[in-house]
Amino acid sequence: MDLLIFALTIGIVYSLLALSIVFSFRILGFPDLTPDGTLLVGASVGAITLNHTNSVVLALVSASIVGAFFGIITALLHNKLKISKLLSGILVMTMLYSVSLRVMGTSNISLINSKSIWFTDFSKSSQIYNLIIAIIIISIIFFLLYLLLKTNIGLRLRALGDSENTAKNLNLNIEKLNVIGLAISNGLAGLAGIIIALYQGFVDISMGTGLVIIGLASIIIGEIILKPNNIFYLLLAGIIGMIIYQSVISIALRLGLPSTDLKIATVMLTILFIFIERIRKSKLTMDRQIGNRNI
Amino acid sequence: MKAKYFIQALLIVFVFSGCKTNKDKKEILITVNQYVHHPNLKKTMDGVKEVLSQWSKENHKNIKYDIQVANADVSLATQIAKQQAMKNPDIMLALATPSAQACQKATNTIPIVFGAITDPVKAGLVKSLEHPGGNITGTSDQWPYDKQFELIRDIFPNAKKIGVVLNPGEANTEASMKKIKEVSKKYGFEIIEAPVSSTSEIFSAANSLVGKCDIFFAPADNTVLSGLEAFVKVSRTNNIPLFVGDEGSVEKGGIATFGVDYYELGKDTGKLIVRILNGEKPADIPVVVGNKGKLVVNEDALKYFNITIPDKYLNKSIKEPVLQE
Repeated sequence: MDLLIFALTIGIVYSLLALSIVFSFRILGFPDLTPDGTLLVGASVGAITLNHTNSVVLALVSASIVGAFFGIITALLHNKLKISKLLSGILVMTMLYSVSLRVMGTSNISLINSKSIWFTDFSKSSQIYNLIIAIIIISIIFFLLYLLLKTNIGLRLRALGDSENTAKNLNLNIEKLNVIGLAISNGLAGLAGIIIALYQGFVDISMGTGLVIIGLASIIIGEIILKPNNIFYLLLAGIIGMIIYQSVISIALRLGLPSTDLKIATVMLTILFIFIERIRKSKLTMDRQIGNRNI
Repeated sequence: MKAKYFIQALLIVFVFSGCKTNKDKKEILITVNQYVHHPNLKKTMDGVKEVLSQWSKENHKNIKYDIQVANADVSLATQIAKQQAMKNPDIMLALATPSAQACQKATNTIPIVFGAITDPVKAGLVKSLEHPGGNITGTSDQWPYDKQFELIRDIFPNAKKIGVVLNPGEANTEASMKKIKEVSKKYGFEIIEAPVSSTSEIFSAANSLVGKCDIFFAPADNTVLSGLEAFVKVSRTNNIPLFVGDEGSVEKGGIATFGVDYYELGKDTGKLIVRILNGEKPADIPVVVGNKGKLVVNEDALKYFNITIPDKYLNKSIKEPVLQE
């Protein structure tokens, strides 16, 4: 039972990042690698703010703002200098390593004695409270995003994600939409950074590395399970996928898989999901004799 | 539908995996949360095992280890720590800073022993080295920089500038650099830094130091130590002697050092574990700083640079220099 609670909690905590990645990759159609960096910079700015002002709210706000700010920079690099989407993200992400080091002034900050949004004592009930807190946080973010995507601006963002050409023909201001979209997704990544840091009790300079890839893998898993056909399920797919991803790690460790082999296990899991999906789809198409649709 | 079955399957595995506890009282479970594969951490672990196997024989206990390496992944270290805490082990051993912090966050009842952490106070692990407080204590691997720089001064009385390649992104490095600057002042050296963020940058960083310094030095920095070969190459081609801080790096081509003996440090860590198993409280056991350095030299490198170790080191009774091939 403990294990279930923990796996759910950590899955939900990390699914904030998954939402950020769903937003940029899937909704906005912008393969943005910046979150690796914005998550880290959010965590470091948040930690510094927390240690100076002793205010959790300020820490959360500052982390989101800093994340959004660097998201905007990625968008501007792409918009103004016509740097490709991938490269703009990589450039900013790389830069943020130095920025975070500068911000922290060191490579590792302990938050064990700081205020937190989590229950930091170790009783069984506080584990459950933490799970509830995680669910509340993710629900709020989820519905805010969902409502946002129903507004005028949200519809424009989705139109841009569906097809850039259509968006152009509709006379949408693509550059502006990129800025707005990346500000939101990276603001979310920054927020995820400080929340994760508070959860694990420290900020370390290596904490962002590779997280976008993990996020992508979970989205793929989530999408295969939920088969989203609207925005609600698309966002949900990110969350479910991340919970499954983290749960599988928990179970694998619990069953005694050496952590050395963990990376190959998670990759295999992702490939397995895609493989099952492929077979299922090809069967469907054979059954219906539609011919070879390319999915 | 498939999704539903999958989630059910997950739940079943969860429930069952939570069930296997039954522990023999004679059996002692020690979980190890190691942050990264590293020769020094392995030596530490060997030292721990040596002490514990002896203790277990004397006390007729059976020690079981659950060793997990986090592959330098912070979120994985957190997961592992939590999992290990759930097994309710007798001792949680944590090697390297992020792992220790993760363990600290995973439990407040199970005794945690950390090994090979440069600055446990700054990492927020202990309140002070003398009185750790909480459920945690361990060993620190602050390198004996004082002796190391004294050695360099004795070999090169006229050297002025020391070039250091380092990765500012490592917690240990920061603590070391502070100490290095302090000590180098004492022996009249000026430190010139060249930062890197990965092993692939070491070659160019070291090259950027050529002409600016008389001597190279590799600090306690995992990035630099992992790519030390590049540093050695630059040192040989430009005829600038490279001093290092640990035994493993001397084997790789550094000239000489007073190094932390990680095996000994591991033994110290093991002794702490024994004390806790015997009933002492971690909060009251002071952190052991293992800086009993021993002189290690690389004969090849000595010949290459035409260096002789001053007599005072050979006659001193610290320990005979180990002459490496």
